[in-house]
Formats: sequence, C-alpha cells, structure tokens
Amino acid sequence: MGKTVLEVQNLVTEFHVEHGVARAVDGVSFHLEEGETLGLVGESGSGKSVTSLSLMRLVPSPPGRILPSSRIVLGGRDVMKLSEREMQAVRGSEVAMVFQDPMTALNPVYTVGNQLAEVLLRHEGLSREKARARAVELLEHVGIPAPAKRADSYPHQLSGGMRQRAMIAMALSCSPRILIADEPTTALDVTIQAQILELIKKLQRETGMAVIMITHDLGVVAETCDRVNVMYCGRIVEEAPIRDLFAAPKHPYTRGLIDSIPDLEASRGGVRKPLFAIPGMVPDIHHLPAGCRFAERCFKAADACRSSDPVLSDLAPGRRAACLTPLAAGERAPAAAEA
Amino acid sequence: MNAHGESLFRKSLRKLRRDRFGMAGLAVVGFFGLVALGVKLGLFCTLAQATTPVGPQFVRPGAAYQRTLADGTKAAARSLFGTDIQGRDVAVKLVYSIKQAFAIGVIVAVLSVAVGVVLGCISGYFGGLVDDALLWLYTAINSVPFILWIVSISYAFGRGFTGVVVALAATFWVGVYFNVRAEVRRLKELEFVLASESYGASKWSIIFRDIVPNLSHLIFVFLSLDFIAAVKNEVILSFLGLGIAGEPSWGVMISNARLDLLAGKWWEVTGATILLFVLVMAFNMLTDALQDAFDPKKVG
Repeated sequence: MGKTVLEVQNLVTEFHVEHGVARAVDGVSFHLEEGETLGLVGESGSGKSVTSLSLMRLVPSPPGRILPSSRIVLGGRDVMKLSEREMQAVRGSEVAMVFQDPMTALNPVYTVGNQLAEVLLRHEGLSREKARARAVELLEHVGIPAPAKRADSYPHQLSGGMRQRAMIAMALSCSPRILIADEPTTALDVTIQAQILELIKKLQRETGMAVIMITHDLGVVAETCDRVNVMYCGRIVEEAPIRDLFAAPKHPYTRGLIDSIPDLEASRGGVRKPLFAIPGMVPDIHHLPAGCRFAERCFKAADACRSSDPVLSDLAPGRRAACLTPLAAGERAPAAAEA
Repeated sequence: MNAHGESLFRKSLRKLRRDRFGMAGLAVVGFFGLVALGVKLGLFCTLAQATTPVGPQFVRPGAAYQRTLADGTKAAARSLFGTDIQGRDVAVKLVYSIKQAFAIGVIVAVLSVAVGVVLGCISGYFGGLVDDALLWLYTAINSVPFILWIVSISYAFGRGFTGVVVALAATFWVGVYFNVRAEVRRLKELEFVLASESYGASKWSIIFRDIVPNLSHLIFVFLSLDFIAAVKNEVILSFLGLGIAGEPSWGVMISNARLDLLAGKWWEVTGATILLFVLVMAFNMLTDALQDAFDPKKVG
C-alpha cells in the first residue's frame, strides 16, 4: 500500500469528572495509509468516537484532556504541537468528518449551499460566487438531483439520505487527505445505507483519500474496510486485515462480536436458533479490573488473564491482538458453537 | 405545503401573519410607532407645543375655550382632551408621550438584549471561570427586587431620560442573559457546532455565525418583553418622581394629575392610563404571537 498519512502512538484521552478520571482512550496506537479504509469497531463507550475527536483535537476541554505524551502525526506534522490557529487550518482541509445524525449536524438556519460555501470561503479563499458555484458542483458530485435548486434548501427540507450526502459534500469540499466517518449510516434507512457507503467508496477511489470508518456494525465493516481495529474499553484489542478478521479472529471479544451477528443460514428449515450474546457487561470505566478488561466476559479466561494486563502484540504480519490466550482458527465460545 | 427554499424565519413570519390577535397587536403597535416617529421628526406635537399653555387651566374635554395660538393671538376652539393645571393641551402631551414611551422602550430593549445575548453566549459557550463570574453577577443582581435596583440606579444617575434608560437596561439584561446562556449550553452540544469545529471554524465564528442565528426566537421575544417592561417601569419611576423630568411622559402625567383626580379632573390620568393600557396590551398580544411563531419547536 501507499505511504502512511496518519500515525497514532500511545494516544491517551482522559475526562476529568466528579468522581475521578475516566480514561476513554487508553494507549491507542495505529496507522493509516493513503487510500485505505480502516475500520474502528466497538460497542458504544469503547472509545472509538473519542479517538476520532482526539485526532482533530476536538475533545471538549475541560473536562477532556489528551495527554501530552500522545503522538498524532498527520501528513508528517505532529498535531499535538500545533497551535489552535494552525489546528483550525488542518480541520476540514486535511481531515474532515462525517457525522452520525445529518439532521443535527447541519445548521437549521442556513441553506445547504450556504453552509457548503462557508467552508470553501474559509479554507480555499474563493469569492462568494465561485464558492457558490463550487458548492453546487459538489452537491451534484455526491448525487443530489437538481443541485442548483437543492443548494437553496434548508436542512429540514431534505430527506435523511440527502442530508447525509450534503454532509459528505461538505466534508469533501476541501479535498481532505483523511475522511473520518463516524457511524455515517446508523441514522439512515437500510435502503439508503448502502447508497451512502457506495458513495463514500466511489469518492475514495476518485480522490485517493484514506477513510476511518467508525461503526458498531460489522456488516458495514465487511462492506467497506481494508483493515480493522477492534476497540474495547478504550483500547485496541485486535488489529487485522478484513478477510483474516472474519475468517480467524484472534481475540475472544472479536469472536464474540462476529458470533453475535444473526445468521440466516443457521436457522434454515424453520428452526430458529437463539441469538448468541457475549455474557456480562462492559466494565465500569472507573472500576476497571486489574488484568485483562475482557476477562470477566471471556470463555477462555485463565487465572493469568485476571492478574496481568495483556498488551497488543504482533501475532503475524499485519495482525495484532491483546490477548494472553489468542484463539486458534475456528475456536469459538461453547455457547456460540451450540447456537 | 412546504415551499421550496423557505427558511424557518420566513415560515415563522407566515405563521405570524395568520395569527389574528398578533396582527391586530402589530397594527396597533405599528400605529403608535408611526406617531412616535412623527413626533420625533417634529411633524406634530413638538416639545414646545407640549409644554406651552394654550388656555385656562382645567378645560374639560370637548368644552369650548379661547385657545392661545403660537403667534400669541387667541381664537375660539373646542378642546379635544382638555387642559391640565397649567393650561397645557392634554391631547398634545399624550401624543408627545408616545414618543417618550417608544424611545425608552426601544433603547432599553435593544441595549438589554444586546448585552444579555453577548454575555449569555460567552458564558454558555466558554463555561469555566468566565461563566462562574457572570453567573455570580446574575445571581447578585437577581437576588434584589428589580424595582430597588432601578430606583437606586436612576437615583444615582439623577432624574431624566438617561437615568431611566441606564437603570432599566442595567437590570433587564440579566433575564436575557440567563435564558440565552441556557439555550447556548444546549445548542453547543448539538452536532452542527462540532461539525463546524471539524471544518475549522474559529470559536467566535461558531458563536456568531452558528449559535446566534439559532437564538432568534429568544431575541424577538425578549425585545418585545423588555420593551413592554421598560414602558411600564418608566411610568412607575416617573410616578415615584425618579423618572423623566422637564418633559411630559405618561408617568409624569399620572404623577402630576393624581391630586387633580380627587378634584374630579379625570381626563389627564385617564388619557395616559388608556394609552399605556392600549400600547402594553397590543404589545403583549404581539409578543404572544411572536412566541408562538418563532419557537423552533413549534415551527415545523
């Protein structure tokens, strides 16, 4: 693959709350290459959104704080060392973001065209007319019919899918090197989801930008990603190329996630098998266990897992897992094997 | 029917136009406003006319009397709304006072809303120490009954127009501030603010371009609420002898004429009260309609 556009090392983001410090992201390291799509998968609260906000230094502060020991290298520049002004120039032009709910992510008092033009005015220094013309072009590019007319629409006059397209047009307006898509399809109808994912892929092919796809939906991951990072409790627990991840997950948590996908094949013949669910709950971020954070819920947990904290280590080229007892191919939880 | 490219603002205006009480209120307020403008431009009922005696004292409304004209000659005339204790034309004073009411209402409303919105935005958006300090100021002002503040500030500034304006604006902004602060705290959590940040907008650009336009309903409602409150408070201040001096105003008229009332000279007090009532009532109707029309939860 191409050259590295983003390198994150030991990212720690804390939130100072009433009863102590919550580490929402705890020592996350990963990299992103030109043109690839990296999946960031995990349950809600696993730290995937905070990770993406940290990359743009948009964690609300206070109460949030990115520890200075964290390193975020974006296109050769250390983001942590930039001033707030320099950071404003980076946001939107080098990294742009697409949000989950396009209804709340667009300002209700401006037309879609105006909001788009605003970003162009700020970053590209275009004149009003040129920005407006470019906005219409962008809307057309993301597949909005009658773009010149739609540019004068207010967000509430567009459907969810249209809004998300407008949002994507905004994110793409300054040709960013990295697009962060934070659950871009979660708020949309199933029929629209595929269209939006296809649009992102198409634009990625055209521009060669890298995409970080944040989602809890393994279906979306399978559809779009080249590589996947699985997050649990603020840490990356497994990293793998997409095929390997689904074929032979190494971390029991990943296995559990995959086994939780309803399987139509298995319930053929009118007999519906019960759905598999990972037992237990995500531990409270203020009372994390001493050992592996997944130990309480893991079918393979040994005594060692409860006392020592596993680190993310290389298992094969491109494959890493934070587990003392990584799974062999085909190994599953007894309950999942039955189901 | 959802007209294409129609902003929430225009939609609100359309809703306002359908509100009969609101439009009636607007018509009355508009009429008063035009009269006030006419007086301000010196077209009729000038200050000189309002303060110069035109005939004997206490001419009854509708009675015939010898009117002293501007050039000093006398002519037979029929009184419109009587004369006061010094023989000044009550009708002229009443009309002139409309300008007073509007001047105070508009200046106080604009000042208090401007201060309240700016401070509310700063407090709500930035939070932290600035917020603590402003909130403390708010609580301090709010913990004393407003009328006491108003009386003491206007006393400190001395009698007159400026004193009234400063006293009212200095106390009215806190209501605007607190509501704006709460709304900004809500708005800044919405994703479009985060989205704007993620496209590299500066903090001030977010406050004034993203957040303030979303406060338009609060701004409209507070402009009209503070206008009404200012008009009423001017009357109270003048009645207490702390308001306008040297010029007629409804408050001054009511204050001066309250002893006349006991003697059966009812017209000056009645005239001022009725005009005050009509203006406040009409404005209240307009405010209600504005609240309905511009509340973003009701515009759909």
